[in-house]
Amino acid sequence: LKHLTVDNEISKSGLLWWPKPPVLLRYGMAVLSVIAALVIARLLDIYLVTAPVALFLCAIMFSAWFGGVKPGLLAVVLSLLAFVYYFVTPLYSLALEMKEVPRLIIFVLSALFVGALSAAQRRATESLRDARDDLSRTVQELRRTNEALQAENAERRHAEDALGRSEAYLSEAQRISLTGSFGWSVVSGEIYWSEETYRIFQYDRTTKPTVELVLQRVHPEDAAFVRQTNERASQDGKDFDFEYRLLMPDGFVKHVHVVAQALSDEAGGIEFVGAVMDVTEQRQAKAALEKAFDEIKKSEERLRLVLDTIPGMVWSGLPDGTFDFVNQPWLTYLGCSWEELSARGGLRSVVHPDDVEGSDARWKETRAAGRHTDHELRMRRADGQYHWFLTRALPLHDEQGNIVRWYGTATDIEDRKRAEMLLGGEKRLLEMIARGDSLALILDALCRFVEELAGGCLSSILLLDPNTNCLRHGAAPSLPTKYTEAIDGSVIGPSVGSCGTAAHRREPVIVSDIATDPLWADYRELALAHGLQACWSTPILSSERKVLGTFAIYYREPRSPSPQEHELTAQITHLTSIAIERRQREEVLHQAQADLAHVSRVTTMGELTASLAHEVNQPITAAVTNANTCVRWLAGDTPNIQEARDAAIRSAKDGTRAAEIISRIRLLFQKGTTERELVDINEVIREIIVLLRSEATRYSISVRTELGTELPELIGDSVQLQQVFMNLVLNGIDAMKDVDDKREMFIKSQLAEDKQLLISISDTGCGLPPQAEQIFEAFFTTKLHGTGMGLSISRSIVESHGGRLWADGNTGRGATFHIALSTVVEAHE
Amino acid sequence: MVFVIDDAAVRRSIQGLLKSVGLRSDSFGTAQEFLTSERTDGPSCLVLDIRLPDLNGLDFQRQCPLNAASQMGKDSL
Repeated sequence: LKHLTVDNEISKSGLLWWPKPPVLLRYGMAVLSVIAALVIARLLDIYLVTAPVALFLCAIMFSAWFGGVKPGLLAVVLSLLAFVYYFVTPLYSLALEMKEVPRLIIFVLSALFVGALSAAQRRATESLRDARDDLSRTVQELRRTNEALQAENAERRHAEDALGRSEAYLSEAQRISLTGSFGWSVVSGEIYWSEETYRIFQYDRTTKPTVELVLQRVHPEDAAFVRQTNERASQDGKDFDFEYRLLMPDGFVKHVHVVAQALSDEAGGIEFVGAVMDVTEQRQAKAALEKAFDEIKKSEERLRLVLDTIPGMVWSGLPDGTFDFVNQPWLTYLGCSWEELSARGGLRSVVHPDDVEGSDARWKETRAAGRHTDHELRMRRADGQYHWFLTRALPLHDEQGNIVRWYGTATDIEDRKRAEMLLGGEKRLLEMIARGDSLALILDALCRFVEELAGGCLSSILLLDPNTNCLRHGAAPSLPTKYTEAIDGSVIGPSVGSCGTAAHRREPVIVSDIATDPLWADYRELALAHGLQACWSTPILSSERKVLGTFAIYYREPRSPSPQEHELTAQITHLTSIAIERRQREEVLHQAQADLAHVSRVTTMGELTASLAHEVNQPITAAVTNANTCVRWLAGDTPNIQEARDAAIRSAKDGTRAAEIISRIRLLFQKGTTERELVDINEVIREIIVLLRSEATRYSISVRTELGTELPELIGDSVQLQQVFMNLVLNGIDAMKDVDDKREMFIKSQLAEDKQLLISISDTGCGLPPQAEQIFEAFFTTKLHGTGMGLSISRSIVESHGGRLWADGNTGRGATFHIALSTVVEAHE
Repeated sequence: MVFVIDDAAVRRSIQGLLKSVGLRSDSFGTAQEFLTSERTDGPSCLVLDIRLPDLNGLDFQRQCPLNAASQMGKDSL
């Protein structure tokens, strides 16, 4: 401020200050001053005739004052010339007269003097001005320095503030992070603690920190360790980093973590700088976490124990389809460890080859749909056997709904599956039995069914002929034909292989090894030659406990039956006995029907005796007559050989005809068999007409026929079919007996579109009774002496041929009976 | 001689027998056939089967136009 004041005083002294005029102006001023002096002097000279020398001196003085020494000199020279030219004689010339020289010298000297004075004056003024300028510059500099100092001062104050703040922050940070800092000079033993360090060790800030103070706080159990660490650190001068416990005066245990770095001070002593962290909370958190982990691990172990102990198979899989876990029961089933299973190619390697593709596709679908439906597949057990399993799975979703894992179970459903198969097979077989399929077909199906259920076995069914005690071939679809032929007809006994013995003992005979069993002594070679090593045979018993046959299971290796196989055998023998018994009953029924038909036939024939006798009599009469004629032609002197021969031929023909008729009649009297043969239905009709012609004639009934040509043959019993036509024709005759009008019977045969033979027998008799359908019922009759069996038996015969028999009333008089017979050969008969 | 018997074999045998004793005969299977036949001369003898397909012998005899003139025979067969 002082400087500024000086500066102001200088600038205010206007007297001493003028600006230094430019050079041109200074010299110009000199010229102008002289010119002005000249002009004024000339004017004075003209008007006053005096030379005012003083004016030139004034001009010089001004020029020197204003312009300095050199403009002053210029003014002197110009003034001299002007003076010489204008005022010194000769006027207007620069020539000089001697007399004027002293004046000129005085003029010059005066001029120089005045000029010198003025110039000196000027120099003094200039030096003053320079001094003022210097002073002004100095003042400026001083002012700048002052400003710089002030700025620096402000910065320093700022830095001090920042430092103060950052120290506060650090202290706060230490407090919050429970981390104190320290410094420890080993040589001097001096220790520096930050505020937080004091707090951690719970010492007052005024206390001077020492190693002993630290050791006082250390937990007794860690004291030795801390002391040792400290000593080693101070000796080695190496960084240290360790944790220990503090025991606070109130009994609280703190965990601290100390980290320090060794530094060398200027004197070469070691100084540690470090941090003390209160890690009690972390330790507690860590301990809690460890405990939690421990719990999780324990519960995982418990879960694993549960999974491995439950009697079920459990698995888990990843969203990509790989399986990452199966439980112990599963591994036990597979008979390998998880590692072995993985090495073999995982679960896929134990799935039945036929199920691999299906289960792969299913698993893929499941993962795509995110949903699992029950699936069944077979898996190989440790012993190589496949069991059926039912698999179920559920996905585990994360919060976003993505599938993170699959969990599933596999349930052994082998028993159920077998039961299902058994039930399915039983149903199929019972259907066959109920449908009346041939016994051979049923027994064959039974064997195949067993072989399907018990893989690797060969089965056979032998039927016992009770009359001869022989075992006859029933079915054995897989056994070598040569073997079955060889054992066919074996008589049962106490030591006749498995089957012969089983039938004899009426109990199962299990031969696990044919090669050694004495029961097979007689058949051993035969069986072994065909590779049969084991045979378990069970007698098939009827409901009356009669032996019907045997059911046997053969194996190509020695083995004994499992409980399931026992069960299966029992089931199969039961089914077989049903089939055989059913067949036997059917046969009995057929026989009974045949017998009944026979009785009915014989009865009818008995009633027809007169007509039949007549029918037989006619050709016999003709034969006898022809024989007599023959004799007559041969008698006398001229026998007519030709006529005699003709008569003899006729006689023979008639005899043959009589024999034919008798044999036909005899056939009808015979007890029919249930044999079936190819039958021409027209032939059956003709035969009956031949036999009943006399009966018709007796009642004046004309019989007309219209038999279709080229009718296909059908399979049936011709005698029984003849019986049907006989019954129907006789019915018609009966119906017409008491009719006075035309008595005509019309028999027609034709082929219908559906390959069925249609035969109709019409009469012009009394027609059907009101309750038309009852006529086919047994013991229903409208006749005085009828048995009521004829139509009933006829219908059962037609139906046993797979045909139909029904009756219609005619539009006019009488009735028509229709028979429809199938010509298509039934596969099962 | 004319006879009506339905059975062809019997008819043929009787015709043969008659021929062997030198009798000429005509034969018919049914009464209708006889009645509609053209006869060259009147029959000396008509033999009828009692059972004929269309009429029985007795009825035929009653209906026969030659009733008075005919000799009758009865088939004992």
